Amino acid sequence: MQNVYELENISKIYGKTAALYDITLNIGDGPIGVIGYSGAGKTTLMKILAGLEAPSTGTIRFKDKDVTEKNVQSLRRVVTMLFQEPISFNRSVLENVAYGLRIRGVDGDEAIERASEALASLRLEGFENRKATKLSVGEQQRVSLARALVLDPEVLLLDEPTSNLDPANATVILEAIQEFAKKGLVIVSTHNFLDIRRLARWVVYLEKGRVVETGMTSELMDNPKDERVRRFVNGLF
Amino acid sequence: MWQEDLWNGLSEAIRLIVTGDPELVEITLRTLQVSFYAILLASIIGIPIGVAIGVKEFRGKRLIKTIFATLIGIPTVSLGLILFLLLARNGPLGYFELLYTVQGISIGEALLVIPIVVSFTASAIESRDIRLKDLARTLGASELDTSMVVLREASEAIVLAIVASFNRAFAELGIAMMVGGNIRGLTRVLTTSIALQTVMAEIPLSIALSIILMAVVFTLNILSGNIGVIINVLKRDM
Repeated sequence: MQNVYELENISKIYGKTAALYDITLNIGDGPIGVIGYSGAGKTTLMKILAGLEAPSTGTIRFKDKDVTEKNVQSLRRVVTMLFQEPISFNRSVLENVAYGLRIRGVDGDEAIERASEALASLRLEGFENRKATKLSVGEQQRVSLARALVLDPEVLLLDEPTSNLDPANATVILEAIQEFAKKGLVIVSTHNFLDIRRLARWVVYLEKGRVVETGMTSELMDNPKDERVRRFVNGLF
Repeated sequence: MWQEDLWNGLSEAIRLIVTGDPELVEITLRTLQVSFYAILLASIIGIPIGVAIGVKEFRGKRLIKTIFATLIGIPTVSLGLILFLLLARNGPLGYFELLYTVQGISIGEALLVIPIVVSFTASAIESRDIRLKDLARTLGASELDTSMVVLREASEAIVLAIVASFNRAFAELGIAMMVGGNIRGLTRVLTTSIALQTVMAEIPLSIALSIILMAVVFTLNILSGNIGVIINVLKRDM
């Protein structure tokens, strides 16, 4: 199977701190879970995969195309990311969801129709004219996912997508992600073991900016090879 | 008695305003025109610079912000003097023949308020949630699209910056006096006229001009205080 992402010796340094250190990773088949303690570098890795951050060193290829510094704009057109804390434009829910379509030149009626369908898939009918920034966190996260899914991306990156949500909102989000995973690549970072088992087929364990272990979810979660991973999955420091 | 002077001045001022004294109307319209063109020019130049400073991270950003913030406080008389020397017939920009013209005053006032527009715009954009830029980018926005999104999100604060700049230009004296020369029927504006009429003991006209000056400034301030409501109404109608 063709690799979607190929990361070679990726490091990311902020000032004197290395958030990621010498990551070499091929990502092809999904869904992928990225797990690790807080501060392990999960969000930084997700931002690099989304083309929002450039690595300090190393190269990153997306479908054989170098996107380390060049072609970032084309990467962002096919990869979308959901943030841990939802954020919305100070506009209506419908305008929020239609934004990505509009900048892609989709005409007004079609954009509205597709945005409405995406909202319905996240059970947000009737929310179209409400101001997105005034919604609850759970509702905003559902709007965020609708805004990402309406673009029909090749890759959906999710940074702790359900960490601030109540069970009802989390269920709607997880169902929509599972539906998307049938046709696109899902990469989800989380330290919620239930989410990982439910969403991810493969898992990457990060610690202090390094990849410690990778493997199939069931193997890595139930029989980790590395002692550090064993401690993590057993809930120990 | 000063109370009598003031009372006479006030009643004469009201008469001049109510009857639409031609000279009063002419000076007021010229002042509005000069300030309008100054703000238009300052916005065309200042908003893109402010957006660029607010959106981008680059070496020397703090220094540039400090320079613009410092220039906000430049004394209008000093700027007026510099412009006078530059625009004078034998000065380096004398070729353009802008001295003692309304265009010259507008350009001078634009230079005066550009630092306000730049600084307030940059601050307005930086005060928005930094993740808005990431949000737009992850939805496939180009750098221009991203700037436009952030600009729209910061629109209320930017309108306030423009109103503040208009007030500054509308009520300034130094540039209008030194670059415009306070020529009757040509470059006389509210502030230069007030200064002249007061010196000439034409207190009623001075008071009438001051009432108009304050009325315009206060009206703008009241409007700008409700700018959020106004923008929301405009957005709803769009």
